[in-house]
Amino acid sequence: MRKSESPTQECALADLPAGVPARVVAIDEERLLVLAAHGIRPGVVVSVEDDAPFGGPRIIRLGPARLAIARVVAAAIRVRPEPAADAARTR
Amino acid sequence: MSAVEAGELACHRPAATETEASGEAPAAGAVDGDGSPVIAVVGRPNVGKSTFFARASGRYAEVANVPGTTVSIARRHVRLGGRAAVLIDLPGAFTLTDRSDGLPAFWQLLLAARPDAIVVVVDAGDLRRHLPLALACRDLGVPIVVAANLADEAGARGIEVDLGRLSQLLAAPVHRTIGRQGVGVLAAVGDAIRLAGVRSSGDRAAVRRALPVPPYPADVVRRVSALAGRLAGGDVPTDHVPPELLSAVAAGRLSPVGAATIVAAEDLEPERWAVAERWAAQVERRHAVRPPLADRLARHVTAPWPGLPLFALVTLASLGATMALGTFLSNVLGSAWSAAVSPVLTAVVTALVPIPALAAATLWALDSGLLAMVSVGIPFVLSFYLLLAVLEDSGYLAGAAVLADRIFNALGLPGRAAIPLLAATGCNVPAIYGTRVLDSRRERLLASFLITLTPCSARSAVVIAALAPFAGPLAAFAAFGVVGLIALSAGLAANALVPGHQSPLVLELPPLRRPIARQVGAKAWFRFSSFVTTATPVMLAGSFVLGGLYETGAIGPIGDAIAPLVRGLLGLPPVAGIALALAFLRKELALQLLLVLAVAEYGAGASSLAAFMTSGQLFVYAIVTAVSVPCVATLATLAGEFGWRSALTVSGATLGVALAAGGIVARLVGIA
Repeated sequence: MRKSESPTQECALADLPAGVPARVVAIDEERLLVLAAHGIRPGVVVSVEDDAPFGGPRIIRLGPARLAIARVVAAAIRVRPEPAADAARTR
Repeated sequence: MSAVEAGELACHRPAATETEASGEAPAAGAVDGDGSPVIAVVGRPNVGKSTFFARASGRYAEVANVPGTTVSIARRHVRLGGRAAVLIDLPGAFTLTDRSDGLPAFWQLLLAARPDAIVVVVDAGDLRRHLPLALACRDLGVPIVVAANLADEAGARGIEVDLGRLSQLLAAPVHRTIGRQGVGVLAAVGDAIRLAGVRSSGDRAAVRRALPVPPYPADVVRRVSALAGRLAGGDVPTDHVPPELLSAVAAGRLSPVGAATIVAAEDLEPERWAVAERWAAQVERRHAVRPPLADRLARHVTAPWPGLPLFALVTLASLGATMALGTFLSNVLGSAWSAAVSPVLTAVVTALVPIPALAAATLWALDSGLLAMVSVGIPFVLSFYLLLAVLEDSGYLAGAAVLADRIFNALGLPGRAAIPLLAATGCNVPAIYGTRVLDSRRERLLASFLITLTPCSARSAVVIAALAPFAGPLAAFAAFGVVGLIALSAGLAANALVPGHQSPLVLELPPLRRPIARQVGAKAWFRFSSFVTTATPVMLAGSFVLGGLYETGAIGPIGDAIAPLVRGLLGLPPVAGIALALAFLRKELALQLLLVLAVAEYGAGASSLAAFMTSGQLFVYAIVTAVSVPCVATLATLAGEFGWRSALTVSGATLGVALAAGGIVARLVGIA
């Protein structure tokens, strides 16, 4: 976990450190429909649980659900880390 | 206790006394003859819909292996509380507008089933992501019953749902269900049958004039209503509206408003998710609990440590278990066949068929052909399917797919392809059916190509039997290594050559669950019986032709024709070419045939492989057998799944790869 890199800046989900809850702010048009069907939509709070080996998919938590998302897809999702107090409240 | 819960208790009775499973109609879409109401069961993947359906219909069956094909839709006649109904199990869907590669959209499957009511199975522990589908079904204007399923798992996570409140919000009955235990399942289906009765008694026109204003914003409702008005008047540009939708409206199977909600799905979906978020917040009560063991374990499965070693362990253990169980069954069945069936068959055929050559060919088919099914196909394929079903139902396979994803990406495949490729080491035929878990035709073709290059148990047996006794176990290992390398390079080349690219992974991981024995058994049996019905006729016909060629001596000229290639390119004796060609029909016979032909050609002194082939030649022979053209059963399966053109292309490619690799290896070991 790279907590030292001040996770308050907006970034791609591909770059979000593990364990930091973040709110989805935007999704690239071409990935929007697929991700939306899985419930990854602007406004929801996600966090990264783990990374599969060899540059494999990121394991994302969305509420009680776990999703595996390829890194190119994670790069298309913009997220903003939640302030710690808010994060505790959201889910 | 809410009214819904009281109703549930009143309805709940054991499955055995309540349900009558009386077979399946051939396909969905036919109006049921006796006028029984049709109840469709709809839900997102991994919500336990198949288990729910099995509980509701009193029968376990694996049907939805192929997302979106009408043939895979199961129909069951059930009788609940004195009312008959037809239950229809639809494939898992994220939204009504889901569309997988080359298949109709999910709403088309749903409409083709002509449901009078829909049971929407949702995850009680994840309403935010499951209610949108329930809302979409409700918006169609078909009465819905919501089954808040997996209530036990939700409880273990500290989530409780106020069902009465949810029922009020949805204006539809909501039942707490635990599919695995059958809790609430019959109550939910019974409620749907009751609602279907209301609908078919003519009230439905009155019910559907407009979308209910709550929960959607007024402007969205206005837009949908305006669209519905145009649809009712036939005043719509047809390039905006699928013709199937217009005909459903014209036939009265769908209200104009319902049709409009499909056309306007892109507008409505965000609203549905927003509503689901609000409602979930209203009806859920959460208690802080320690995450259940299954959730904690699930995390370890996909983490590099201990996930990767575990993956290796599970893969090896699976193969070992399949081989051990398969070998045991094979020995038992094989000796039973030789002792009891074979003598009878021989006597009967010899007595009934007067022409000796014809009798011999018939025996090739009935005796040797069926024996191969009984002693090779059945034991290995059945034990593999049992194991596969356990891995699948436990949720482990999805985790393994994630771990393997990046590796398979290089071959143009998602991690899920690991599953059918693993199956291929047992038998290629079921493995090719297994590629149906992949999304696109391209992925399925690439995976099938790799599968045909993967030695099945019969081909592995040839490699081991040809090399281990004469050239040592190390040579056998080396041969598998070479075959692996060949498959990998061919896979990389195919990915570069076949046009198109692979869609990146977005996969929902199911929680780890204890597999249900009956469901595992039913799933394995269903796949197994489709293997038997496909492979047996091909096996019989192939063995008959092979026997005919052999008994009439027609095989000689074939051997002469390919001799230059076999000797010149591969450095093998010409009889080996005939054996290789005949192994197209029966891979496991590649060695026996070679011996039989060698004895016929060179005399009794050639009864051992080592007598007429060097270890280098055996090595090349083993590799070419392992890689070259799939057997006839595999070819038939490929043709059935992809058409003859693709089947022949794939087979031709494997032949080319085998000859090229065989030629190179022959030069490396110095026999050509």
